[in-house]
Amino acid sequence: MIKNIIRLLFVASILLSIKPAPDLVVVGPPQTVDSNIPILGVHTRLTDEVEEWKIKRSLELVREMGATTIVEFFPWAYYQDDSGQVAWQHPDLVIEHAHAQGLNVIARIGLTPEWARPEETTLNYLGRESYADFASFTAQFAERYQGKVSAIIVWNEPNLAFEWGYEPTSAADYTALLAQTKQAVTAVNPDVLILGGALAPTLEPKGSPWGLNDLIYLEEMYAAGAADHMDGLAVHTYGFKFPPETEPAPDLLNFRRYELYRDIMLEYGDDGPVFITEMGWNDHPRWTRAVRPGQRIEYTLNSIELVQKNSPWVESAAIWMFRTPAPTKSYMDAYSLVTPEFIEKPIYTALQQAAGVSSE
Amino acid sequence: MNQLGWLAWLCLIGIALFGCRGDNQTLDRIQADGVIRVGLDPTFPPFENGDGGLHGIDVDLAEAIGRELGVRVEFVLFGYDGLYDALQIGRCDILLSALIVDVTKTKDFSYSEPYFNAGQFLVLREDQNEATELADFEGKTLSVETGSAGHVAAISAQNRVRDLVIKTFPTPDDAMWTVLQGETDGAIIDQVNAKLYAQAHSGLVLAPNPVTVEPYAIVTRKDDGALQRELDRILVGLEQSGELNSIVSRWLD
Repeated sequence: MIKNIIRLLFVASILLSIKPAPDLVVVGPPQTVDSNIPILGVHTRLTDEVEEWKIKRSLELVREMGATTIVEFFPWAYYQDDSGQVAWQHPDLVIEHAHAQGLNVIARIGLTPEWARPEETTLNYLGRESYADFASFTAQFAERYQGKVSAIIVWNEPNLAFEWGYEPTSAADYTALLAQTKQAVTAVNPDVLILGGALAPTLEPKGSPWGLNDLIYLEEMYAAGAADHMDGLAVHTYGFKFPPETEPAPDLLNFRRYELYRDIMLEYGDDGPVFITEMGWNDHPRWTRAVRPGQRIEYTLNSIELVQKNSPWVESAAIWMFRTPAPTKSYMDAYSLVTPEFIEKPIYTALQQAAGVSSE
Repeated sequence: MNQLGWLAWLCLIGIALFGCRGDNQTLDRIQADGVIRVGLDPTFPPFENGDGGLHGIDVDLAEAIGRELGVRVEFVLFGYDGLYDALQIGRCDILLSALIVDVTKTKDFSYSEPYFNAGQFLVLREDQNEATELADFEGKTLSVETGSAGHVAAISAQNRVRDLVIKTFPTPDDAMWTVLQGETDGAIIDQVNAKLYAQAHSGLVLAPNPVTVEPYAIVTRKDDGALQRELDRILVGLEQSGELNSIVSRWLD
């Protein structure tokens, strides 16, 4: 009997002495980015990356490539429940690690929670009645990450019907969203920049059920007063089959389309900065808009040089995209710089060399 | 029978009546209207290409499925990003667009039996039997297209296969040409490009086992179980009759 009690006490003492294992992943000491291409950025895809070490590793690789800025997507739908509570754990991880790596963060906010949209709608649906909720969440985000997030992109590619849950929308609606968001954010964090636009390059004509030509949409945004509600324009500019030097034209989708956006900005008296938050070429072997992998490397390097040389009003140029947590198993994978398994693609190494970073 | 027993029976009857009705809804509607709406992104030859009229493997497969169902096929075109949302809100009945099974989407969508493996394959000279899979490539040389998925697979293989040498080339065709010339021992190329090249250049074969598997399947909404089962039945039938192979060969061989 006594022996059993001693045994029990022994086991109990062991159990009581067990402590949770210390964190295996720590944010680590602050780093700085060593790069001779200060505008170089990448659009990371850490939204669905659940493992902290992978978040950290991704951002280390971004710094080691010589990129100074990340653009990252923070989906409202993932964080805020119908009671108003926000689960900040995941965005905290991403932003703390990015900050520790010395990276500037541009955040894109989008996707509507179930409680803020009608049934049978997709995550992209955002009705006017929920603009205030979106603005309020974005303001909370801006307040929380003051000093760590430099700019916020409002929504994504608003000139596409898909980005509104296949519901009709207009530049005036988007401008209203921009205005409400800017007002709410500025009240709590006057330092963060509000970026509008991030339009999809498309030639869809007026009346198309799928979207509207980005140049027309941008003009309509300015006509609706967008200039008063944004601090800069976010731009998506892809090269598709064309080399970066190809002259821009309204009826052509190519890399230098961002210059046409600038013309429209100036036409409406907006001399604000441009942030290229998505750019690049795809090298999938069969996608009709892709180029060969070697061309992708050459075009990407040349495009960065071109922007630096000719467009001093571009604050950053972020390549779509760095890495996905898992393969998308589509031609989208051929946009990445690093595989889900952290294998650096040759384009990563080429950018690293161009940024003057020595690979170890 | 006690009260719980009756309750259980009532639940079962309810599931049979109402559950099955939901399960059949889209298939019933397709048959009643005589049309199936097939969503695709027409930028991905040889599976779907909108240049010069919609054509490709998926287009022919959709027509074969329509014929088996006894209905007309209506193609609805979307950008890649919008495909799944379009299916979710009923802008089309199925997606048939070179889509690979994605486990992260299986909460809302179901996938049919795969109808094609678009993964990477070893391309070898017909007259050599020494190295027929990656494990046999110790001390041998592989050619790949610079920066391609085959290149990534080869880099990854270097961790397991001793002294594997990788030679990179600007295009898949250049990589396979060196195999043909005996300058390298094999190439890692995706099945579509490999088949197209091997068809045009005698003397090359694809190794029987893929290096990577990327299965293409047809996507339905999760609650369209009856439609998914019907598609599986049709796909199995098309495979057994040789028609699936014939559709693929029409575009690849």
